[in-house]
Amino acid sequence: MELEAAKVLAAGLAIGLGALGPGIGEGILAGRAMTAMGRNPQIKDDLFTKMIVAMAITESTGIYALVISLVILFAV
Amino acid sequence: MLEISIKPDILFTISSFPVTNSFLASLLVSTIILSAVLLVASRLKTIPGFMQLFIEQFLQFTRNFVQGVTGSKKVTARMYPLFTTLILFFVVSNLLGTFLPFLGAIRINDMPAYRAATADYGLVLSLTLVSFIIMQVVAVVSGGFFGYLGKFFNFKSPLDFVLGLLDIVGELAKIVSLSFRLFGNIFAGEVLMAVIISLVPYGAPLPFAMLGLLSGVVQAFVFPVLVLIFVNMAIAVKSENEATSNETAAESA
Repeated sequence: MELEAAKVLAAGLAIGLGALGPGIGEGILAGRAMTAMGRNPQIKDDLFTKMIVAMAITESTGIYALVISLVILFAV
Repeated sequence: MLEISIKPDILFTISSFPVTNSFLASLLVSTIILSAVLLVASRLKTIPGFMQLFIEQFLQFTRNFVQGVTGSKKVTARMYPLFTTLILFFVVSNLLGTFLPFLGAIRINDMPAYRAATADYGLVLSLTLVSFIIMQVVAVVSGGFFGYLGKFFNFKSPLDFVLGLLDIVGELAKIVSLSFRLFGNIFAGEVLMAVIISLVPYGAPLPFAMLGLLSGVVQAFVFPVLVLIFVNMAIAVKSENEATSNETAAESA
């Protein structure tokens, strides 16, 4: 395989596989937060901020994969 | 081909000091924050105007937040300036590109003169290292030097020894995870915008700009919050040791 082809393939695989985990995690997080908000609508503002922060932390593995694939594409 | 590079472009050099577009952006951000705050501070009023009210509300909010996380007045007074400074700098530098989109069109030496300050890994990494050193210093000061070393080199049992070595890896991983999270989000936002603009120049980039707005604010908030939590954990180690020593003292008594 040529180097350029291998690089493009590696970048695609890195972000594709890396996006799986955060996708599942954020789905679970949002679902649970919705359930909690439905049961107790009074705390929904407080929960929403916490949910956004937790989501930013959950998606960080996806961001690492994105950085790696961008480095493969544009820096190596 | 799109002009995307991990490194910021070097616009010109002032006697071997390379001036990059991210460096110019960070100077611009500092100027904006300083001039806004100095302007408000020079004409403080008992009945605050819009800007003064805005800044006071922001400082009040961050102070209450730090107080809520640390739960101690002493720690709050020491951590609050770092926390607020980080949030201010990150929020302004992340949002500058969205609120002043024409900056991207200015070119110097055929290179874009503006690139978000946080899209330069050097700046994010150095701010992360500063926070990391503060965490370690807090851990040493609050737990004592030998208490700090004892956390990583534990000879009580083989399992504890391995876990202590893993703690070293965990500490070092904080540098990578903190800096990559912020840099990755902002840089990926810029790459995404560049790709969308090259595909559909009109209308289509708007939702992605909204997304960039959200992630810019959230990431600017998450980085200082995590620094605050890590510092708080470094302090908590001490009180935990005290609690266990109190327990053993109670048991022996």
